[in-house]
Parts: sequence; structure tokens; C-alpha cells
Amino acid sequence: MNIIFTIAKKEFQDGLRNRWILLATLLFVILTLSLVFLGSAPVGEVSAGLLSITIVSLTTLAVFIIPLISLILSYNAIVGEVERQTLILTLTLPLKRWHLILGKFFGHITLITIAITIGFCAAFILILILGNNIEINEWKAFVALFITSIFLSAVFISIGYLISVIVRRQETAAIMAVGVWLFFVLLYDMGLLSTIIFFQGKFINTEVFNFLLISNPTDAFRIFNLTGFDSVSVLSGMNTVASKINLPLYAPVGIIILWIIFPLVIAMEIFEKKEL
Amino acid sequence: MHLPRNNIFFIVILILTICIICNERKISAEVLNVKTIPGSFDTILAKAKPGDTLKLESGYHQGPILIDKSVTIIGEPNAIIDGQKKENTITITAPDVVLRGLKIINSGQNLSKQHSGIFVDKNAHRVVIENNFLENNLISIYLWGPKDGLVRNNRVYGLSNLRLNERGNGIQLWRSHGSIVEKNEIRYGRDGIYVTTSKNNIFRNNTFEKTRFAIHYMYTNDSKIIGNISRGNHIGYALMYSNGLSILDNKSINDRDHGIALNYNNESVLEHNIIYNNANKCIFIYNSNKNTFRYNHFEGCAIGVHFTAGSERNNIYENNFIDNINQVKYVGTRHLNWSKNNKGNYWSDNPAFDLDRNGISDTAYRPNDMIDHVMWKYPSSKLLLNAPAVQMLRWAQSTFPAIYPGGVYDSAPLMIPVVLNEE
Repeated sequence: MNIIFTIAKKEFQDGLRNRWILLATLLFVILTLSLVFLGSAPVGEVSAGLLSITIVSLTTLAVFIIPLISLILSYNAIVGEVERQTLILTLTLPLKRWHLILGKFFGHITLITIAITIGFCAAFILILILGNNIEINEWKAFVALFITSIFLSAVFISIGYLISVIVRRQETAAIMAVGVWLFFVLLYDMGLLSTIIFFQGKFINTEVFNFLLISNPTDAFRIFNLTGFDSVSVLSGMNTVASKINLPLYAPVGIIILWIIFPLVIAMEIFEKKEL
Repeated sequence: MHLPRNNIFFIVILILTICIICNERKISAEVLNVKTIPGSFDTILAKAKPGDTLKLESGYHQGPILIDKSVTIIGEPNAIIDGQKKENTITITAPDVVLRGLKIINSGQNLSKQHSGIFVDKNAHRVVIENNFLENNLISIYLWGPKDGLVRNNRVYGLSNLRLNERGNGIQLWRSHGSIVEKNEIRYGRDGIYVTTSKNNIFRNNTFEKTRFAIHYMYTNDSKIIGNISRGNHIGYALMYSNGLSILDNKSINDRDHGIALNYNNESVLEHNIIYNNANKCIFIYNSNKNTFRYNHFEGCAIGVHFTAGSERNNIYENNFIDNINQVKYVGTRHLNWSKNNKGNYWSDNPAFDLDRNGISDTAYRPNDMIDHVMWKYPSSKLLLNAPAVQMLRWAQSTFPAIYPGGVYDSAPLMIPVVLNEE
């Protein structure tokens, strides 16, 4: 365990030095704050809606940005070290290979968590200033968004590791990372929608469709945050969908956690057998 | 002065006598018992005076009978009048007749001769037909021209054995202005209530099952249809060539074809109706103009509303369209905006957001055949339709001028369904 902690600490310090995480944090904070400001402009009937509006907008933003910064952080984790030849050096130390992966993973998670936390805290402070009379339920939705965002980032860090371990050169890893982002965030949804419209409801029954929808971690994230809480689902037009999907609330979260564990485990397996 | 005093005395007695004679009807309205002996009814009716009550004892009374005096006829439990399939079981030609608590069966079966269970003739105004059970008659009750009739609380079971078009209607009205038909239970036969060329009627709180059209309106204006329940008929409320109707609080559940069908129906108001689970169309609007549809609930049909044949200037707003396979089928090339005073309808497949929190969706709703069907089959595909990628596509598409050939759209779709009163 000490080894994992040491590796995590090293990765963390490397990341800080990199300044990339600083950039990502800044980006996230700016976008989040502008969303809060935009949400405060149309007052509507009660400005207490500010938090729910922010949650809806923030969910969409998170689905775009968080996978991107997670992948950028982690795509190079293994293959970069291979090319810089620091990996062989590290492996001479008395540690197992999977210790290395797990340690770096925790280091990266810590970095991203800090970035997300700073972004959400900034939003939180701004909402406190601008809004009033916000109910507990809405705060629950906010906290849920925060926690699931961290989980979502962990998913894509995990996938980034898998990419990093499969490829042989850094450039390949970079391209694959972009491809993965495009697939999960854009292409999967468009593809699924086109398929069901094209077949007009044949060949895929409703349960299969729900399963296909929720197996994408980004869609599971959106389902959880947009339909899981009443105050938010009215704004997102999902209030009748929530009752019809008939999924327990923990199902999307469960899927996300599976998506964290499996790529990481597979990456560890492949890394064990990898020739350097 | 003997003569003048005698005269006065005589005049007073004359007046008193006249008064007594005039009141004799009131003073001496009798209750006459009618036994089940054939011909007994006619005999006793012949002896009866207007205002009398004829009480039929339990058992079979042989019909057909003709009521040509203003009498009240009540039956003891299980008093049956059997028309013997000859002609009308009961024919009423006098005004102010009351029929109560009878079982009336077996009218003749000739539709062109209008054979009915109870046939109410043109002069039989203010007839009251209440608490009776009609079974196995061709046309069960036919109001043929009387005014202000009241048909209430009857059980009307028509024929099921003939072909549909050979059967008579449950309650048929022709030129019977001011009629009230309420709280009846009507089954079988052809149409539940068929009304033509009447005015100012009220059809209220009736239930209809297994008929063809529960209520069939032709050329009938300024009338009200309130609180009826149609279940398992071919069409719930078929309203044709009639104007100025109020259609409120009715239900159509599991009807085969349409919940409400409007054919050349103008200036009517349809509010608070619930149409649910019909195999074909919730509501069919054909060449009907200047109507108002508000606070209605259309759910679970193959087509929510089929709107066609140039129907103009209708106001359709604050309704719920929920889970129909095809929400709107519009045949026409105009642009129609189904909202009023910035309030549209609730569409269950509308994937838009409401970020300014005014209860109205931020973007207009356009029913779209292909997407409607998909949303009906996969309710969670709403989530796909507001996925970031698809939203970008839709936004890009919306910035181009619409080249659609007309169509229905709703510029202020509601975010939550409208609550109807009784729910």
C-alpha cells in the first residue's frame, strides 16, 4: 500500500508541475461560472430555480468537458513513460506492475478531483450570492452531480489507461483518445438515435434499447442527473420519462462504477504481459 | 226585492259548482290497478281520466298498448309489457304521460316502420320515461317530435342478434326540442343515442357499452353533452353537421375507432373530456370550424388527433397529448399554431428544456411522424433527443429557414400536463 501511495504522490506532483491541470481547472471554473451567470439572467418566477437551471446546464457541460480533460490527462500515462524510458527505470523498483497502474490511477484521480472540486466550489459560492431560498432537494441534486462528475472522470481516466497500455507510440494514443471521446460523447448517441428511427421500432425492443442507452457511461451520467431529481427533471423535460424508464436510481451509478473498474482491470492484465 | 237576491244566490251557486267541476280532476285522481289479464290494460285505460295513475301488477301484460290519455303508468316490481313483436310495444300520443318502473320488451322488428319499445308521438309533450328496463326492442325509445321529454335512469338493452345496420338505436330523437336524456345505461343495438334535427337537448351522465356510436348527432344545434361514459363502442361521440354544442366532461375508453369524431361541426366547445386507449384515433376533426378544444386528455391511441379537410379557426390549447403512437396527423398545407394566449398543449414526447422556468418549453414543438413513433416506443429516447450531439444538429437545422410544406406546431408547449377537474 505504501508503494501505491508513493507512486500516487509522484504522479500528483508531476501533474502539478505540468501546468496542464492548472489549465484544465481554469477552463472548468470559467465555464461553470459563466453557466451560473447565464442561469441567473432569466429570472422566471422564482430565482430559486437558479440552482436547478445550473444543474441542467452543468450536466451538459460536464458530459463534454470531463471526459476530454480526463482522457488528455491519462492517455499518455504508460506509453509516454515508455517513450521517455522512465518506465523501465521505475519497474526496477520492488513493485508489482499493477501497483504502478493503480498508483498512477489514484494520482490522476486526485488531480481531476481537485479541478472539479474547485470548479464546483466556485459555482457554489456564486449561487449562494445570486440565488435565494434554495431548497435542500436542489442541493442534493447539486451534490449528486458533483459526485457523479468525479465518477465520470474516473471512468475516462480508466479508459485512458487502457488506451495507454495497448498502443506503442504516443501519437497513436493521442488519436485513440480523441476517437474514444468522439465515440462516447457524440457518435454513440447519434448512432443509436439514427438506428431506432431508421428501423421505426422494429428489431429492438424497449428493454434492449434502455440497456443500450444506459451502457454508455455518459448517457448513464445524464440519465441519473437529469431524471433522478424532481426539481431538475421538470426543467429538462424528463419528468414523465423518469417514471417510465423504471430503472432504480442506483442502476446508472452502478454502470458507471463498472466502467471504472473494468477498463482498469483489463489495463492491468495487459500491462502484466506487456513486453517493454 | 226577491228577484235580485235570487239572482245573486243562483250566480254564487253556479260559480261554486263550476269550481268544483274544474277541480274534480285534482280531487279525484285515482289509482287504478291493472291485472295481467289480456286486454285488461285497454279496458282500464278507457275508464281512466287524465291525471290518474295506472298501476300494473307483477307479471306479463300483453302489448302492444296505446296510451292516449295523460296518465301515469307505474309498474310493480317485474311488471312486464310484451309487445309480441307486432309493432311498437308502447305508443304514447297524449302529453304529460309518465312511465315508471316497467319492463318493456319485444317490439316489432321492422326498421322502416320505426317499431319501438316506447314510441312517443309528436303531441306527447313533456313525457317522463323513468326507471324502466327495456330489452329486445328494435328502437328502444323513440321520441318522434314531442317537446321537453325526459328520459332518465332507464336500462336500455337493444338487440344483438340482427346485423348491425338492421338493429334499432337505443334512444332515438327526431325534432324533439328541449329533451333531457340522462343517467341511462345503454347497450347493444346500433347507436346508443341517435338525435337528428332537434335543438336544446341535454344528454347527461349516460353510460354506453357495446353499441356502434355511443352518441350520434346529426343536424342538431345548441345542445349539451355532459358527463357521459362510452366504453367499448365503435365510436364514442360522433357529432355531425351540428353547431353550437357543449361537450364537457365525457369519457371515451377503449372505443374501437374514434373517441370523438367531428364532421362539419362548428362553433362547439369541447372541454374536460378524457379519451383513452382507443385503437384508432382519439379525436377526428373533419371540416369542422371555429371550435374550442381545451382541457382535454388524449392518451394511448394510435393517432392522437387526425385533423383534416380544411378545418379552420379552431382553438386547440391546454390539452394533454400523452403516449399516442402518432400524436398528430395533419392533412393539409397550412401552418397552424396550436396555442392561445401563450399557452399550448402538453406533449408527452416533447424533449425540450424549460430553462426560464415559466412552465412553457423553450422551443416550439413540431409533431413529427417518425420521431413520434420512436418516442412512443422508447420513452427514454427523449434523453437521446436532448443529447449534446443531437441538440447541436437540431440547432443547426433550425437556423435554416423551414422548407416544410405547412404543418401543425405548438409555439408554447406546456412542460407538465394540465390537471383536469375530476382527477
